[in-house]
Amino acid sequence: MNPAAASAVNREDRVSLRLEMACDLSAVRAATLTVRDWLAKKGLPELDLGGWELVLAEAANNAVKYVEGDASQQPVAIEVIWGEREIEARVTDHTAGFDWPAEVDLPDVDAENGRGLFLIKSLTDEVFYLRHTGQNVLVLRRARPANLTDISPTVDELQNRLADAELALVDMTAELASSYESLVALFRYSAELGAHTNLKDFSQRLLKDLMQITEADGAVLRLISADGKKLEPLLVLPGDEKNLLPPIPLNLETDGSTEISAARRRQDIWFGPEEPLAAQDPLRSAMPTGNGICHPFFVANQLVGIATLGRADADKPFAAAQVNLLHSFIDFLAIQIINARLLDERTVAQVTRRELEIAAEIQCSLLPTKIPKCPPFEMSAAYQSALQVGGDFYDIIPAGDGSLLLVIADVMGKGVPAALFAAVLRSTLRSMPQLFKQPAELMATANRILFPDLTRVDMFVTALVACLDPQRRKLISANAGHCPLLVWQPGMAQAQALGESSLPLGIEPLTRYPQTETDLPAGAAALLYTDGLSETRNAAGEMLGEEKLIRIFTQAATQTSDCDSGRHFLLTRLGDFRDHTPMTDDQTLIYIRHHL
Amino acid sequence: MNLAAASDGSLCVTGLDRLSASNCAAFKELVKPRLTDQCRLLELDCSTMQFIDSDGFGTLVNLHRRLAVNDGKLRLKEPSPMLRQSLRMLHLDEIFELTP
Repeated sequence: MNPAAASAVNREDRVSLRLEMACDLSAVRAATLTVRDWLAKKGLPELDLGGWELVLAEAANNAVKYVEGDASQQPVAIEVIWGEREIEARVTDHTAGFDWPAEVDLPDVDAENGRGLFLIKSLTDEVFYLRHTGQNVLVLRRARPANLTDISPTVDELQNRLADAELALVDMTAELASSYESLVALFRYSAELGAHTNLKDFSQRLLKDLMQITEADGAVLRLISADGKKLEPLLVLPGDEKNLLPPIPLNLETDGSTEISAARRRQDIWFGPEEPLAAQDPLRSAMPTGNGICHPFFVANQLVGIATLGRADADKPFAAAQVNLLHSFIDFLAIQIINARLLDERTVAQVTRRELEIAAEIQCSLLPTKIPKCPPFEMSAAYQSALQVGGDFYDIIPAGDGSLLLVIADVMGKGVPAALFAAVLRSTLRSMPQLFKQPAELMATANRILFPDLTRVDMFVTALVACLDPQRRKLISANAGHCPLLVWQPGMAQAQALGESSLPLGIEPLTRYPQTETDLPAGAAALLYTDGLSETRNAAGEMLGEEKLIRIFTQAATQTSDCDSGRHFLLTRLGDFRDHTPMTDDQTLIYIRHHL
Repeated sequence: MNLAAASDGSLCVTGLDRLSASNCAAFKELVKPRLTDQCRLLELDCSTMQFIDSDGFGTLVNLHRRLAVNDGKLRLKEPSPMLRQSLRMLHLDEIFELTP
């Protein structure tokens, strides 16, 4: 039995008149006369009878003329409903269907074809052409003449009307019960849209309701994977035997999966005794497949998933109205899926934002609240955070004999992990005051301690550690893959980048770090910085570079006399270069000045 | 259905009860060979005509065009109110001659 016939049979007790005709032009006359006689008994005037006869003949002719292949073996169904105010006729065809034109124009008077649709349109008040896979329904409506009630009916007619009314009542009751059930479910789902509902729970309830209302015995729901390359099972009902259904790659040979075929063709696919599932089709192991329909669903033209309903009974395919319900329910599901995805994205964004806040708090807590005095030197430091918190930090620690340990470092990474490692490095260095005056040894020891942890999380740290010795007017430094120390001494035309660098912390466990001693005579200036300064970019994407940074530092040293002014000069010139372009990395510096 | 030719070359079709998709091709095959160049009038007696659909109207237009080549015309005799309404709706009453 085909879907159209089943649909008609299912509705047999709900229509005022229903008939089926062979898909043959010679059968049209008898069918339209049957309808005409039935309408005549109800007192419809001659002109209306003629109109309905013509309209139904045109519809039935089209159903016969445009059918293709084996579909011509299926009958054309005509249903007529005598309504309180209007008459409705439904003609079910098995053609490939067509798009009902928005406007139906009358062809030229000399044209020999093209008048059928015009007659249908002109002789009815409303026309809908509902297209489905395997069958289409042309719905025609026209108001009943107002004066019909003036006709005095005979007893027989009254009895017939009573019988019709009883049938209509049964029909309406059944339809009302079904509609009520559907509406209640749809209202319930609409109320849940946008709520923080678990998607699987929502889908499970929706599919169970849908199965009940459409009298399905099984359902499978697959959703497109995050990478868009495969369909992953979300639900298999009635028992959730999801494990029996592996994900299907979208590029699978279509012969193997009806779901993939439906996704590719972007249309419903029916299966049943006439078009059984392939032996290897995954649906076979998941649900009753006597009859069924695969429905791909889309949002903004993008495939979201596939919903499949199945029945065990091979003689009971889904009717057009049940397919409409499937579409309506799955529309709700698609909205909820998109809502859930947006919610996930919002949650991830909130978590990320909170993580950055935490990282920023950690990072700020690492910075010295007060810079110790170290005459004749004075120091000024700055830390400017980019939007994404990086792993920059600096520290200035008294060494006990008037000298200071200066630390500037950049943990490779972002967010909380980078901030935590910055904290660990800071604590590690502070725990070894005995090595403050031997920066190379301090760095090597810190590397040995941190190496296992850094390696485990695949991170590393660049750092510059320097001991500022006010007695000897020297800066003794060791560099672990960090930006060089910049020094300007009076008489220099340009500052110099000093110090030999070695591997960052966390690369090799036994790295040795060369130690550099630099004189800082009266008037000299030095700069410890992170790559956020030299890698500052402007709107055109150009990077400042070390050479230009040295020039700016030289200008700061020669054009300013104290460290705060020097630091301000540096940051202003960097800002000028950036020209309001957002910073892409943290900028951290320690500016040292030997008072004249 | 009867098809009779008059001495002036005109043709008269009587006794046809319908002209629709299922029989219009046969009707055209029957009538068209009789539309000679001398035929100036084809009269279709519609007093028995119960039904014409769009294919039937298309067939009548086809015959009308054949007649018009020789200044002939198609006359529909005694069309029913329903048929008149359809002809008006399709503006075919402008090219066919209707007689009461």
